[in-house]
Amino acid sequence: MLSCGSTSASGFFRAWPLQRSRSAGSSCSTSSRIFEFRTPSGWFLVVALPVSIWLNGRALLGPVMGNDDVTFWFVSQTHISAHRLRLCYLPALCRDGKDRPAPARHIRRHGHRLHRLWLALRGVADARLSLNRFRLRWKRPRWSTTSDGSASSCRSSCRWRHLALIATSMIVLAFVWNEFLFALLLTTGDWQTLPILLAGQNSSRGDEWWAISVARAHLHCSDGGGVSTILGRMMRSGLLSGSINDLHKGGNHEETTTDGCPAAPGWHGGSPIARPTIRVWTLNVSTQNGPAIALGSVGRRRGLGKKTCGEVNVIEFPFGELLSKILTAMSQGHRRLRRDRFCSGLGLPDFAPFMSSMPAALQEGSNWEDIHPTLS
Amino acid sequence: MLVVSLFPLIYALTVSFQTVRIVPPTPPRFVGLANYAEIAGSARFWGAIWTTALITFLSVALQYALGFMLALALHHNVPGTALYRVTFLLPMFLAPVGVALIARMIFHPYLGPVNDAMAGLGFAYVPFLTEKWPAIMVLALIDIWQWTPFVTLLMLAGLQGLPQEVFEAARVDNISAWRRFWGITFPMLLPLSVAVIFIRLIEGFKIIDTVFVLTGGGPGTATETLTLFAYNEGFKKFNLGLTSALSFLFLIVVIVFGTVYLAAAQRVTRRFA
Repeated sequence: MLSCGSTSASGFFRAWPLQRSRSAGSSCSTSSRIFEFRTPSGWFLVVALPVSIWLNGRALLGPVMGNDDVTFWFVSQTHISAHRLRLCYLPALCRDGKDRPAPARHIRRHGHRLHRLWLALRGVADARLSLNRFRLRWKRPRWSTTSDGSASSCRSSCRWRHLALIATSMIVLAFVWNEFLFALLLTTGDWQTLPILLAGQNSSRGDEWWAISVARAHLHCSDGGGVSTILGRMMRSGLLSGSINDLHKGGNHEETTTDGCPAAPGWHGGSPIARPTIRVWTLNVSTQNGPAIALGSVGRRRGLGKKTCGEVNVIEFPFGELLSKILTAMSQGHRRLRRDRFCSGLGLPDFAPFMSSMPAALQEGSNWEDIHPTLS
Repeated sequence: MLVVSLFPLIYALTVSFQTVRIVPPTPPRFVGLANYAEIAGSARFWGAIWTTALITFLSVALQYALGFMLALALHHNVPGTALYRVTFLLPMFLAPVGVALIARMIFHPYLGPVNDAMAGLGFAYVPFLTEKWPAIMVLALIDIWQWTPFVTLLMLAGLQGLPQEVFEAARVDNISAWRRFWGITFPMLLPLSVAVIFIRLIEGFKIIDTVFVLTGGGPGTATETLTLFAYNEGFKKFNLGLTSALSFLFLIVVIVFGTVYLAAAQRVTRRFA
């Protein structure tokens, strides 16, 4: 991952960050200590399992909502859920590779999947909450048919149940799509969701970025308009089968590759989706947003990807988020961080523990002098 | 559920009793309740609670009143109900971040149309986002605009489930519309109202996206909510111990409030039922 920061008025520093810091011992030992069962924290975790099973059987809150829904939903609605997820799984690894438990290593690598898992679970909890409300309203036990069992009344009640399920799914989808808090806390410098991208427009500079920000906001809001329109129609007419039929329409079965890159072998999909290509590598570029700084990376993204059959993702952050995003990735021993091109003087002391001296051979030549002469 | 809920909860609890910093990477030290004491003695924490409570209670009260009114209007089959239903649902499905970004431009002190319109009508210029009370009002306004449809949706569903015989009997007895509403409709919808208000209050307590984009907690810390305060402590200053303690204090506040609210709501519901 390349990182680009802004230049400071007093000059700039070139830095050659270490992938593994020599000074990482203290946090490494603490993180691993917490996961050992010799410590009180470890025993707390062991005790948590039977306690949670016992708690799950207790009646907690009143008759309006189901206990399981309320327990998860109520507690999960505060930001501590995102904070504790991040706290528990992402920084639990050592940068120097020692005492790194294998499960924690996999958890770190797939931290963003944890975020998706949480979103999916929240979606399930929201759906269960909505379904419970629906059941209370329609006074139907779960998976029941009508009392007289006649075909016409069963069709009617089934249709209403399907409508409610569809409406619930769409509402949950919309809420999870617009999720901001957990994406803000759990994303790192490699990927970000659309609401985070929109929030990054805040510190863009230049009048033209107002228009671009509005355009992006409208694009993101357009799906909400589509959802509300479809929901309004479905609530009125109850037609889901039309949308299902669209997915199964006969389509183009040609195997196409987009830009001459190797096609995925053995693809036998019967859908209109084109045969996917294989990407040999993926480069994530984190950069400050703004026309002067991000434009170079954005403009060269596709060309570089086409030439090399790779994929370049440009992730823009506002200036105020750069330090925290990059520093968090470094402190967690993110292996994919290779080098910084710039480092603001204001943030340099924070990066110092993770850096070593740049090799002398790199401190000369046209690449060294191309942007600004170093101040000696 | 254990993996994503209970285990992280316990881990965060243990961290809240320690000083844990990522930058600089100092070894954690057990400090007991020092983090909690530091937060409880912090004026910024109490200010964040006050701001969060003010925005939440103000916006939820108006959401409920407006949402109920809209639901009553949609319940009677006025012409264009289908169009209104879709139009009123739209704000709920928009991304709060996108809405806040557009609102930031609308309420911009010099480029926004609101101040232009006010100047054209002869009113004075209002610094919507650069002074405390106008900024809080704008945040509450955006919250009301975006989430009133949610209340409308639920109240409309409740209205459509009410038995019609009671209302027919009331019309036969020549009971006025206001008495029908206050004596029949409102009490019958009280349990649903309690649930809707509860959901909106809990959702309102965790407001961050609108504040993050619109004011960033400013001017100064005037509009800083609890969640934004925790984010700044944890991800700008990397003070994880303090952030964990703050998170648990926040959880305790929300649980206490929720318990008191539900107990009070049950008494009110029993009295009206």
